[in-house]
Amino acid sequence: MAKQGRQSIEETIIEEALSAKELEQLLVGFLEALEKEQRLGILTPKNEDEVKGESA
Amino acid sequence: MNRESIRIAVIQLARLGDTIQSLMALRAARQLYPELEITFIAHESFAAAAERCPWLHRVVTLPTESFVKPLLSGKRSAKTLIPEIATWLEPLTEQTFDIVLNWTYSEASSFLAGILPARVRLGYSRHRDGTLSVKDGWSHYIHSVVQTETLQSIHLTDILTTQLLTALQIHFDEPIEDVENQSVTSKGFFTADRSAAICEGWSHPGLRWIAIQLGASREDKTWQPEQWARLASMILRRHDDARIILLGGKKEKQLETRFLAALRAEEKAGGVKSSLFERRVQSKVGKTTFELWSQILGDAQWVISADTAALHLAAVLGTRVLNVSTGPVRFRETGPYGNGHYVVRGTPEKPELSAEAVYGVWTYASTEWQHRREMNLATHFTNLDQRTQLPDIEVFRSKIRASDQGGGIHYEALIDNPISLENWYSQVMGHVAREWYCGWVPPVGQELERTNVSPALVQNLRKLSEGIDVLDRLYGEMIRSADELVARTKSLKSEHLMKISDREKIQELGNKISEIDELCERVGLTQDSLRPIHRLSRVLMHNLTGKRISDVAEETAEVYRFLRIGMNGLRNWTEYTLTLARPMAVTAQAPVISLQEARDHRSPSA
Repeated sequence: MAKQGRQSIEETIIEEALSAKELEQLLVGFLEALEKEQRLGILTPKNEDEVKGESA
Repeated sequence: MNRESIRIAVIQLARLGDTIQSLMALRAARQLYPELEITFIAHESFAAAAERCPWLHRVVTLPTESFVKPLLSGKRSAKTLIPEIATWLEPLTEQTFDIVLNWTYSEASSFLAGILPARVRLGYSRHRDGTLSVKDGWSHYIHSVVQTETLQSIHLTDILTTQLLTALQIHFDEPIEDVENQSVTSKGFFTADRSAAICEGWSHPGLRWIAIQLGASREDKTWQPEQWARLASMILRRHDDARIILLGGKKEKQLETRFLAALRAEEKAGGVKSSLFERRVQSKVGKTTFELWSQILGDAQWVISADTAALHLAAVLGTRVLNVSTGPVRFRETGPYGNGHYVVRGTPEKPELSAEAVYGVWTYASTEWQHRREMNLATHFTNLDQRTQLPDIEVFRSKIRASDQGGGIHYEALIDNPISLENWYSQVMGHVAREWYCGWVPPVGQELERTNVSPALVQNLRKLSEGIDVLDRLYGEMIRSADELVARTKSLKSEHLMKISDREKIQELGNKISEIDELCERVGLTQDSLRPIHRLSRVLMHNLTGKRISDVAEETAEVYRFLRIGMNGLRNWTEYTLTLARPMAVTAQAPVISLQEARDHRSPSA
């Protein structure tokens, strides 16, 4: 079954490690996107109780 | 036989409900691939569940607050925080993962997925230059269907499980054969300390504890505490052995107050002199740790809840769930997973749910062992003198399909409501997606009944049928043009130096492809039911990887061949449904609920 679904998977092999500049750019992107998601309330807890029984 | 370990990193930075669904998918995968060595990366607030799964190799929590707070306050810039984030990341970058699996499907997580060294990436990621990379089929589907307004019928847990298992089969090995009937959901899903005494009577064998999770993540998904109280009062009044335990976070204390006040009012209205009901209700609102909360949800006989994490937690612990589904909830994607859970909703015309309707469904569900589902829901509601509720509700029972039926969860409708175009389409998308990504074709019309087909649906499908024909012809034309472009460019020694006649022909084909593309855009946006496939075409075209014209043209032809499989599925379902709607001789069969019949039973005041 899955073998026939082969077309659904693309493999990416990282041949070289990211350069310092590329890594920096991705890290900045990560932090800025985290900030945006927090600001917009996406994927973030509405309060710290959620994990203790909050109905989220 | 020793199998080499497969190191995978799973990024799940979303809420607890998503975290639990991911853990279910991972548990299923690990039963088939015990060699999986899983690093689970979780949001610091939602790591509790993962930290109690001993079969995870490592749980890494993202201290979001400490990174985001200085940014939000403007005290630090993202660039100045790099040393801290790099320190956090360091242990994760020491070795290359076999698979990095981003199950958060968010922007931030895609950057993290792009940073972690990996052989295979599934889910949203980033190219070296920071642009979005969506490589695998299920992620294309999530991007163009699941994260849009289009309804589809494949549960998220099934999507995640299939995505991972397919990748494991393709890139690594076949699953082990001696799985020994292990169940994914079980009371022992988490390893946690148990509290000896939850409350008085908790372990009494003659009592049935029903957990009610007050509240929901959003106001529009919340069933009001007054309704919960009315439901609780009905249960307590009619079932002597029933006890209620209320659950919720500290911020939900006011829901608890409103619930108790409404329960008292119910008692008063019912002529109950002392607070008999209240003595049978225990509240743990704002008082639970993760351990206690999960213990209560795991030990209770029933959990009744709106769209909350409690619903997933109860399901994973093998407790039966009645999901009071209110507001904009896509229960087919995120409803309780497992066999025998119930979902009750209002209808699009009357979305509010009454406590009487929920009570009727709960009593039907909780007496299944007695009636063995030989009695239908209509008879049960008639026995309760509540048959007039039926036209205003939709009720579903969850069922895991047999593997020869395609597996995965299905929510079987227990009331024969006519199906809307939107819900019909969600079934078709589920079918098409399984054909696309599982390489398995379920029978056309699976789980669609003749009685669900209304004249309105027939009218809509006739219109859709015309759109399908036009778009499919355009796709066919696109494939022919792209194939011709491949033939023209493949034999060229250079894409820069060529005969003028070749250049003109290539130019001509390029223009033709652009024109067809514009037409596809126009037709694809004319009908809601054509939009998802059109959106998928955009996602697939965005993710082409070829550098040469011939490679891009070849990939383009592949994309449109792939889309045509979907168009074909859509056409087959449309034709099948239209055939189903044709008049035919009716033979006597098992009674079904007739909505008209139910409407006729409405009292004049209803």
